[in-house]
Amino acid sequence: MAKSNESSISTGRTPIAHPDDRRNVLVFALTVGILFTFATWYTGFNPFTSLLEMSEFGRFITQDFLPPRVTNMPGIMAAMMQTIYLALAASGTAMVLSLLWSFCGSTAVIRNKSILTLARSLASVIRNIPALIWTYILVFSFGIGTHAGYLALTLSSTGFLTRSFMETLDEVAAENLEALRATGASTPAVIAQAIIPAAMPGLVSWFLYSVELNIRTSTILGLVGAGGVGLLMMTYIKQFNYAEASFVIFVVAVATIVVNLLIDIIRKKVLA
Amino acid sequence: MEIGDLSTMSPSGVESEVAMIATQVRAVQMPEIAFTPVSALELPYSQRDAKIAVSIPRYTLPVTLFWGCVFILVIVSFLSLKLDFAKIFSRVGNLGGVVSKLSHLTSDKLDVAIGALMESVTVTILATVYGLMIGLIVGGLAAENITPWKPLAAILQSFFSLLRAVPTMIWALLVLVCLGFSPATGIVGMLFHVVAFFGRAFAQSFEEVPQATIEALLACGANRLQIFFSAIIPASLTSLIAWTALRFEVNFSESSILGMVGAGGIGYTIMASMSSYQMERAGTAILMVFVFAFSLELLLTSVKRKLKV
Repeated sequence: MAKSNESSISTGRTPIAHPDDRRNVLVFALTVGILFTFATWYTGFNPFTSLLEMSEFGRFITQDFLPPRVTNMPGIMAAMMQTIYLALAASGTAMVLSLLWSFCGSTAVIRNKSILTLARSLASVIRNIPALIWTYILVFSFGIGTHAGYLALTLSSTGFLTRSFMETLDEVAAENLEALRATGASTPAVIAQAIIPAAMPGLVSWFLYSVELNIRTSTILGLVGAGGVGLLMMTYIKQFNYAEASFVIFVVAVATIVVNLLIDIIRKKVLA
Repeated sequence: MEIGDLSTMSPSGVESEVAMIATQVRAVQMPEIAFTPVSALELPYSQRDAKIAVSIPRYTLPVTLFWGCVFILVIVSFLSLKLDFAKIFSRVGNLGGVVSKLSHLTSDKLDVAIGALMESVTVTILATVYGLMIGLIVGGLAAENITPWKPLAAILQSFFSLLRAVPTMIWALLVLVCLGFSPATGIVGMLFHVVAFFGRAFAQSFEEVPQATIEALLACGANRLQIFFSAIIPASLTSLIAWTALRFEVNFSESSILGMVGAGGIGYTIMASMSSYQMERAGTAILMVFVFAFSLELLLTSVKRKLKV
C-alpha cells in the first residue's frame, strides 16, 4: 500500500489502467468463454440442478455428520501425530535432496548445459505427476503403511522444492558471483559465501511452505493406504461411520489451522 | 544520495528527477532490491552502485536457531516414525518391477482413457471458471479497501481459512454422498478450495490497487460498483490472470486424482487399472496426465512471461 502511494506521488499522476490491458482482457475473456462453453457442453454440468441437489448436503451434514462422536480419542491423536511426523521427516529429507539437486540445475553453479537440462527435466517429471499417484505406485511396491507415505511425500516435495530453489538460486545477484570468482574463489566457497546467504530468506520460506503443504498432503495420502490420519478417516467413511469421521475431519482442520498460524509466526520471526 | 535530499528538493523540481530519487529512496529502504541481478548489470556504469555487496549477513542468530530446531524436529520425527530402512531398501526392487510394468504402454482401451482425461480437463475448466466468478465477488467483499462493511472482510478471510483447512479430497468425498458419481461431484468438491483460494488472492490483489485511483473516482462521484469495474478490476487485471493461470494448474492436478476416492476422471482409470493389475493401461494413463500437466506448465509459464509477472 505504502509503496504504491509513493509511486503515484512521485510521478504526479494517478494510475488508472495500463494501455495494454484492453487486449489482455479480450484474449483472456475469449479463452475462458470458449473453454467454458466446450466444458459445459461436454459434461452437461448445470449449476442450478447441482445447487438443488446440494440442499441434500445440508441435511446430510446436520443429520449424519453432526454432532461428532468420539470413541477412539487416543487412536485419532496418535494418527494425527504420525501425520505430522511424516510431514516433518519428509520435508527434512526433501530439503537436503532438493538443495543438492537445485545446485545441479542452477546456472550459477554448473556451466555444463547437458547436466542443467537433465536436472531440470527430471525435476519436472517428478513434479508433474500428482503426489497421490506417486503414493499409489509406492503403496503398490512397498506395501500399505508409513513407508510408502514417507517416500511419496519425500518424492513430491523434493520435486516441488527443487523447482522453487532453482528459481531462488537464479535470482542471486550475478555481480556477487562475478566478484567472488574474480578473486579466485572455488565453487564451494562461492556457494557458502554468496549463494546460500543471499538465498537464505527464500530457502526458509520455501521450507516452511513445504511443511505446510506436506501436512495437507499427508492427511489425504492415507486415503490410498499410506498411513496417518487419512487412513483412519477413510476407514470410518467406508464403514458409513460419518459421525466419527466428522471428528477426524475436525481434528485435521484444527491441526492445519494451528500449523499455518505457527508457521506464519515463525516466518516473521526468522526473516525479520 | 542521502535520503534527506528528498525533503530539501523544491516541490517544483523536474518530475523525472523526483521519480529517480524516489527509486533510490526505495532502494535504500529495501536492500534486496539493489541486488537484482540482471538490471544491475544492464545499468550504465555511472548509475551502478560503487560497491558490490559480496556477503549479505544472513547467517544471523534467528536463522541458525531456526535450522537447528528444524534439524532436531526432523530427527525426532524419524525416531517416532520408526521407519525400517532395511525393509525399504529390500523392496526397492519391487518399485523397479512396478515402474517397468507401468512403462509398457498399451493402446488397449485408449478411448476410455482419453474420455477419462477429457472429463478431468473439463471438470478443471468448469471448477476454475465458476471459482473465478464467485471468487471475484467474494474477493471484492473481502478486500479491506473496497469492502462495503469492514468486519465482513475479516469474517470472510477466516471463513476462507476454514474452507482450506479441510483437504479437497475430503470435500469431494462429502459431496460424493449427495451428488453421486458424476462430473458435478468433482466440480462442486473442488469449488470449496478454489473459491477460498481466489477469494484470498483476489482480495490481496484488490488491496494493492493505489488508494489514489479509488479516491480519484470517488471524487468524480462514482459509486462502489463503478469503482470496482472501472478502477479495481483494470488495475489488478494482470495479477488476476496470473492467479487464474496458477490455480488452473493446481486444479488439473487435483481433478486428475479425484477419481481415486471414487469421483470420475483419469484418476479412477489409473486406480482401477492398477488394482486389477493392468499395469500397462495405468502406465498409459499416468503418461497422459504427465504430458498434459507438463504442456500446461510450459504454456502457462510463457503466458506469465508475456504478462511480466
